[in-house]
Amino acid sequence: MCGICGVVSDGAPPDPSIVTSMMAQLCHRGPDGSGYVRDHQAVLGQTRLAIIDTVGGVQPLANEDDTIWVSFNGEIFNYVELGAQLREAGHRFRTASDTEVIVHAWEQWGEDCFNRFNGQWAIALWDRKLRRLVLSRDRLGVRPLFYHRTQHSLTFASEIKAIFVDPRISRQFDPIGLGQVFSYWSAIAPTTVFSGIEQLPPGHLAVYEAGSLTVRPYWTIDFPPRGQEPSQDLHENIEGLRERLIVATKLRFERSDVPVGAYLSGGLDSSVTTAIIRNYTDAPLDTFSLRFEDASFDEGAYQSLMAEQLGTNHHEVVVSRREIADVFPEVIWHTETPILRSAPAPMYLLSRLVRNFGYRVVVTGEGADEVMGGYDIFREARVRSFWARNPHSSLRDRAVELLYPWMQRNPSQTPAFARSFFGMDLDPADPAMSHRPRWNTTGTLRSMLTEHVRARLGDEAPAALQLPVSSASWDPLARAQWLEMTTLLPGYILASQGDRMLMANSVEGRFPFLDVNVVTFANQLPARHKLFGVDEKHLLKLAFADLVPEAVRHRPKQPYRAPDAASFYAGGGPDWLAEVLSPAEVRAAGVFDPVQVSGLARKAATRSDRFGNTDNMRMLAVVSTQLVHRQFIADDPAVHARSTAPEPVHVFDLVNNESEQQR
Amino acid sequence: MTPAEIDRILQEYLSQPQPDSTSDAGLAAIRAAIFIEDVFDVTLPDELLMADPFARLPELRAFLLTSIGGG
Repeated sequence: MCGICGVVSDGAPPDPSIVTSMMAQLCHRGPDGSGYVRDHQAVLGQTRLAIIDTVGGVQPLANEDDTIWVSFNGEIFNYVELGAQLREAGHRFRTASDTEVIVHAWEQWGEDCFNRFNGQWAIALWDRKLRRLVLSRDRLGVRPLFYHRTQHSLTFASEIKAIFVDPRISRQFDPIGLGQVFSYWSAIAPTTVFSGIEQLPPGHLAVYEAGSLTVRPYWTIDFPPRGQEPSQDLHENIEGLRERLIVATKLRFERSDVPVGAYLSGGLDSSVTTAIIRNYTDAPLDTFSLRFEDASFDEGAYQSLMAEQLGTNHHEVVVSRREIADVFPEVIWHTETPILRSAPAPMYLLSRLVRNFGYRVVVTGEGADEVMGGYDIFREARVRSFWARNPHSSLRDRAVELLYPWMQRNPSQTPAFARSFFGMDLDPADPAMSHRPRWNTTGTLRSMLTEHVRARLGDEAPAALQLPVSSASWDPLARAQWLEMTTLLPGYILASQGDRMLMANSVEGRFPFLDVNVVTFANQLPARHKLFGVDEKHLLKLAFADLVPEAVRHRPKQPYRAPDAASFYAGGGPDWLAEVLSPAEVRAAGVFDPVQVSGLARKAATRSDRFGNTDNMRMLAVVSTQLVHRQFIADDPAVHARSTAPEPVHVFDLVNNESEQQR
Repeated sequence: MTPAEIDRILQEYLSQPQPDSTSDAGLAAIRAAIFIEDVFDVTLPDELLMADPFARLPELRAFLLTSIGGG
């Protein structure tokens, strides 16, 4: 895992010192060394977290005749198999790294190479003969890739803060990107929250040539028409899922030259991946868990159960509210976007624990909820659809009790609650019906925005994302999965809560549930095998019933949450809070109405413990937006950077035909 | 959808263990109905929702065959 950056110009030759400054900003992504290659038109930089071929895999790296160079962040897990095919085809390798497979695969297969990769990546390829830059991002957006365009140049990097080291690039909010965060929880690629900064969408490649940029998909999320799924047989599908997930997990655990650990959350997903590692590999295993002082968020009992059953060397960090507040500015420095929950902060503390134990890689259960149908939003949509079939039936109200078991203990409340719940944004013809309540609830944040920002956004409710035309024939669950896989997964789960919190402490996450063979297989399943009535991840539970105890498989689902607004007021609260919420700073940021922010802050100071979902969301949105403004717009982010790129620095100077290693 | 396919899916439901929360018979009926309506894209009449629709399997089967034109 690494950081990548670079500048390509069809005007004046790019300045290598800009790229070395960018590398310094990406030190946390690759502390083990760095390097750049320069010619008359391009400079490609890289900071390296050495995991495969730790000695030989120095980057940037070239093909046999130095005409194609690559700067690479990520892993190509099937590099062994692809390397064998490429050697068979006559390519000569100088290293044992997965990086080198990329340049030869590009030579051999061109753009089709990305469809052959099984992995997680952000790639920059510079073809010196064609004077062409190719950027590529993995299918589901595990690894980030941002860029900025001018008339004669393109600047790209793994993180926006690296792009901002160029003083010619302006730093200001994009109201459209902010509006997306305040509806969908994240900006939707190619938009970001910064004006002029774009992100390459997952599953896409970009070609920059002669000052022109073309972006196109090489892969799309697809589902078969409802009822035409290839296998309707439950047992065949159980076996198919088990086989693929075991292969995917082993691939991610074994393909590393450094030890690999595992996250263990206490839920089904990481219990499955950890159990596979323990049962199908021989290596000892260290597991890492997040616990909370707040008992209502803590899953320690389930974590201990799994760790004891699997016999892992188990480590945990217990997080307090105050710690969440203390690290929050640093968390936002890494997310580079406003967030609506504090949940990334404990993930930051967890990856720090991993790094403190000397680990650089962890396997996690991320992606299972999206791929296998685990989220409450899927169950809720199904129950709402059930009610919508006959809203006048006096029997259907009770369906809500299947989602919220506490209703069974309060039957008198059921009818009123059910009518409110079922009736919200209920339009069976709406392809985004599953997500409309979430988007509209989040969209209430817009009422706090300044008139200027609201005017830019318009007053209309958030528009649905454009589902593919073919989605009309999909199962409603597939449409909901598509929406989840294209919004929350890449924009928040894998980014703010995933890559950014892991890489902040130089730790690489690996996600077996996002293996292309697992995802493709899961998308071909009948919806009922994923969400069996209202039983989420049904097939996954069946496929690993022998490895994961009943207590974990059928425990009530507990979405990962952390204390939100109350964190900022624990133990007196951090010093920076009053500053960022001051009317002067709120006015300077220009996003939220200072009067409303002051009212919210007063309320939070005395009642944050009793805040509901909406007020928690408002508080997180305001505080994180203010921190983004303070760290990226008001301050020059370059002041936070190390002064030098991680050493050793490998320089490949093709202008002067020199290469050297600087220490 | 053929009668054999309908039967296979109904048997699939019956083969799966039911969670503890459905020890409530009324709720078990709702749970079963959600599965049936989703999979077969039908709307069950209230009389089939009042008790577990699987307890009246012949009636349920006949309803499905009629509703979705099995065969």
